This record gives sequence, structure tokens and C-alpha cells, in this order.
Amino acid sequence: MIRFDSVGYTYPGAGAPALAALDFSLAPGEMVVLLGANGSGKSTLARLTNGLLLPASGSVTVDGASTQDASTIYDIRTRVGMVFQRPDDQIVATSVEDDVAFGPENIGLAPDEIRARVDEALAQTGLVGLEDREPHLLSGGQKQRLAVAGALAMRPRYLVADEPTSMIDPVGRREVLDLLERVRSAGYGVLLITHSVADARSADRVVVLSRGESAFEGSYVELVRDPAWLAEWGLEVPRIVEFGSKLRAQGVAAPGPRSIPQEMAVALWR
Amino acid sequence: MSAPVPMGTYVIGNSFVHRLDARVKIVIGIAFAVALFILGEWWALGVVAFAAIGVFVLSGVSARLAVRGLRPALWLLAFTVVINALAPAGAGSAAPVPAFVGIGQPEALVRVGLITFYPSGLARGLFFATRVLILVFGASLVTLTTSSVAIADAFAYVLRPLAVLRFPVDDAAMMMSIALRFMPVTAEEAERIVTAQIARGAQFSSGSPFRRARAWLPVFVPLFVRLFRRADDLAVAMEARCYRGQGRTRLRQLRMRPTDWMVLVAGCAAAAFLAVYG
Ligand SMILES: Nc1ncnc2c1ncn2[C@@H]1O[C@H](COP(=O)(O)OP(=O)(O)O)[C@@H](O)[C@H]1O
Ligand SMILES: [Mg+2]
Repeated sequence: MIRFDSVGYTYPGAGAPALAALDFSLAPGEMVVLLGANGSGKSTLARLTNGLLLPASGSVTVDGASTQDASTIYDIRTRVGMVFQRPDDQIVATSVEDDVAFGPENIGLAPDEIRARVDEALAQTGLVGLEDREPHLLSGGQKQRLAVAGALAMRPRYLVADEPTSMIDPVGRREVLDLLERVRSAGYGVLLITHSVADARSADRVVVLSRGESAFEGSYVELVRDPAWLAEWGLEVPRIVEFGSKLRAQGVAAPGPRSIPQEMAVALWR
Repeated sequence: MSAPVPMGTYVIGNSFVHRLDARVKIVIGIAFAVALFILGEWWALGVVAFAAIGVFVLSGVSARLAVRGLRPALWLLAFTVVINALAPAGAGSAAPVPAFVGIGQPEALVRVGLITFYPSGLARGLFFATRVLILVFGASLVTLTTSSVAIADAFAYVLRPLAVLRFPVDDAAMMMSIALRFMPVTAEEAERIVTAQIARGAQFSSGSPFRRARAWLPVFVPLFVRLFRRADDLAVAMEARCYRGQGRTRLRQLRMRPTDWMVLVAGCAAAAFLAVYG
């Protein structure tokens, strides 16, 4: 379990805290989607999960170990894999398989063990066959899947993805979201950070950050029930949800807010 | 007009040259680079040029790609030749002087307007320029026939003895690998910015050299800003993946085959011969 207890963080030189008295948790096997407008503190929260940033007040623990304990920090970073927003700026090596190997190489594993983990991670992320490809020749979706593979090769328990889909095309976005759902089903704890409310559809739990504070915690259906909240937090109501509620207001039996466009279309056709 | 293509982007192939161990290519490359700067005879220069062309033919790389890497160097080389021609090749200069120019003997000067050209200086300039041209050609042959991964791995290996001198070998190898990784990314980005600038009316290929140079300024500034931001992001991503600069193991173990050894010995011997007798 990743656990935040009343965590506060202020960037050096910044006036207002980026996070204030935040409680948060992520368990293996669940997918939590973290929503929030730009500057609401999402990336700050992400970087606190694996000790890239250390809390100024309160504490962050991963499976019981504090991120402030220097002796366990690398253990924590192997447990918490991280995927970042910009596809190009997180790929280190000059070929796909070397990039997947980067983490295992850093923790000094034997070559055979690295090989096994690389092959496993490539299979998990659907990148088999692209081992020797140079990363700049991959599509946006492939690059982000490669970033996921690099994290999985560390055999983590949690995966934190900070807006992994905001800079790639819709096809790549779908690939990455599907992959994250599979990763969750495989038992990893997944924290998906996004500012697109629609991406939260398959979340077990949704948390909304607003100005460094937790403004909402609950299910997706609860979240989209009141569009006024969303606006206040700087989030957009997904079109399909808006469309469905308008139809229902007109007395049409439209499917619920979790539905995807195909389901909506099929239901209306009937 | 496109942005300068980084010298010799790897072209996938399966020639003898491609399959040669990257360490061998790098060591022979360095040996010949040293030899090139020691040798002082045109015939020796010719031998090296001939050998480089031979390797190029063996590699099956297209001539267009091989020559493309030379283009950026040409202006600099033309400049070298002209500057050299402005002074005689004196006995005191370290410059090797081809035998057909008698040192110290009065030479026939060529005057163009107010400027005097010295044939001996011209010969020296040509010699320098040819030397650098061969060097650049050889280097692009290595990068054209060797994947970035292999180059990075090989450099890490070749640098290893320097650890004795407290040289940060692992860091240097990592830097090398990152540089290779971001060269194409940066080239693509430069191309994007150039296109955007052209759309706004920037002139990259007309006007005086000064104007042309100035047109590049609005390209380099955003390029560098982006590079610094990339560096920041990348550092964080590496830290998140437990990078700490030491105690790394490697996925791939490098192995030399008998042919690699043979080529290594023969190549180094040839370079040594040219350095001593050329
Ligand atoms: N390196 C930094 N230095 C100072 N302030 C920062 C830094 N990074 C982020 N901030 C500030 O902290 C707040 C939260 O930022 P961040 O966590 O990046 O938000 P988000 O990821 O939700 O867009 C913002 O007000 C932002 O301006
Ligand atoms: Mg952010």
C-alpha cells in the first residue's frame, strides 16, 4: 500500500503550497484515477510516491517504508514504477530492449535475469518484435508502452502514470489506457493521472485535486453526477456524459455515464 | 531546405563491415586518426583514402549517404585551404610539406589583386583539408555501419582502462548513449522549427553568409531551451528508474570473434606503419 498521511509540500521559493494536508492511498490491484486542472498538484503527488520529492510535512510510506528513509529509497523506486507525460523525454537508451533493460541494469541484476525481465515486459506491453527498433522511430503510443515496459521490468507493485496520454494521438491513447487496465487486472496498483474526466471511466476510485487539496473521492458515476462540481475544479464534463444527461432530461432512456460511444449508439439505435 | 542531418545515421545492413565488432571499428578508427595526424606524405594520405573507400565499398552503404556526412565540413575545409595559401609553408611550421615544394627555395607567387597566394601554402592547405576530409569520411563510415546501441556499448568498453586515471567511465558511457539517443530527436525538432521559420519568411539558403547565419539564430534558441527542459525531464525519469551512476550491470555481453581479432591486429599494424613511414 502506498499511503500519504497529511502530506504537505511547498516548492522552494513558491508562495503557496503545492499540496496541503493530503491523505491518499493506493493498494495493489486497484486503479485510482487522479483528476485535477493544470497546476492542481497532480505531478507533485506523483513525485512524492517514490521519493523524487520528499514531504515537507506528514509522511509517505510504500509497503510500510518511508520515502524519507535513504536506506530503502531504491527499494521503493523498484516497487513504484513511473511513467511520465512526454514520450521522448523518458526513454534513455538507443533501442527498445536496451531501454527496458535500463532499470534492471541500474539495480545491478545479472545479464540472464535482465534478459528474462526484458522479454517478459515486452510481452506484457505488446512490444515483441520491436526489440531492436530505435525509440525515435516508434509511434507515440508505442513510446508510452515502452515507458510502461521499462517500469514493469523492475517488477514493481505499483505503477504511477502522470498524464501518459496527454501528448499522444487518440489511437495511442487507447492503447495506453487499455494497457494500464490490463496491468491493473494483473494485480498491480495503478495510479493514472489525467485531466480528462472520460479517462476515469474504468477507475475503481476517483480522486480530484483542486489547488493542492483533495476535493473529491468516490466513484466515476458519483463524480459525473454534478457537472457544476467539475467546472469548479477546472474539469470538463465528458461529451458523452453531457449528451446522455440531456437525453434523459428529454425522457429518452439513454445508458448511464459509464457508457462508451459505441454503447450509446447501440442503445439509441434500439 | 532541411536541417543538417546528423552525420551518419545508422543504416541497417549485414555487410562484413556492419558485423565487425564495434570496439574494433572504434579502435581502428582512432588508430587511423592518430596516424593521419602524424603522417606527412601525400602517398600515405592516398593509402588511407584508398583504404577508406575500400571499406565504404565493402559496406554497401549508398554513396549519397556517405557523402552527405561530408557536406557540413566542406566550407570549413575551403576556408582552411584559402587561409593556408596566404602564407608560405615555412621550415619552422609543423605542417608537412609535399616533396614537390622545395622549402626555403624562392617560389612563384600568384597575385590576385592585393592578395598574394603561395603555392607551398596552398599545397599545405590542401594536405590539411584532405586529411580532415578522410577523417570525417571514416567517422561517418563507422556511424553509418554501427547501431547506436553498439557504439554506446563499445565506447563504454573502450573507455574502461581510463578508470585507472579516475576518469568517470560509467558517466561518460551514459552521456554517450544519451547523446546518440537524442541526436535524431533533436534533428527532427530542428527540422520542425526550421519549417516553422520558413513559413514565417525566414531565408536559410539565400542572402549573404551573415544573413544566413542570422536566420539560424531563431532556430537554435528554442532548440536549446527545449534541450535543457528535456535534460531536466530525463534526469527525473532516470532517477525514478534507480539510476545512480554506479553499480550498473549490462544486458549485453560483448564477445570478439576470430575475424574481429584479425581485423583489429591488421588495422592497427597498418596505421602504425603509415605513422612511422608515411
Ligand atoms: N519546480 C517547481 N518550482 C516551483 N513551483 C512548482 C514547480 N513545479 C510545480 N510548481 C507549482 O506547484 C503547483 C502544482 O504543480 P504540479 O504538481 O506540477 O501540477 P499539475 O501536475 O497538476 O499540473 C503549481 O502551482 C506549479 O506552478
Ligand atoms: Mg503535471
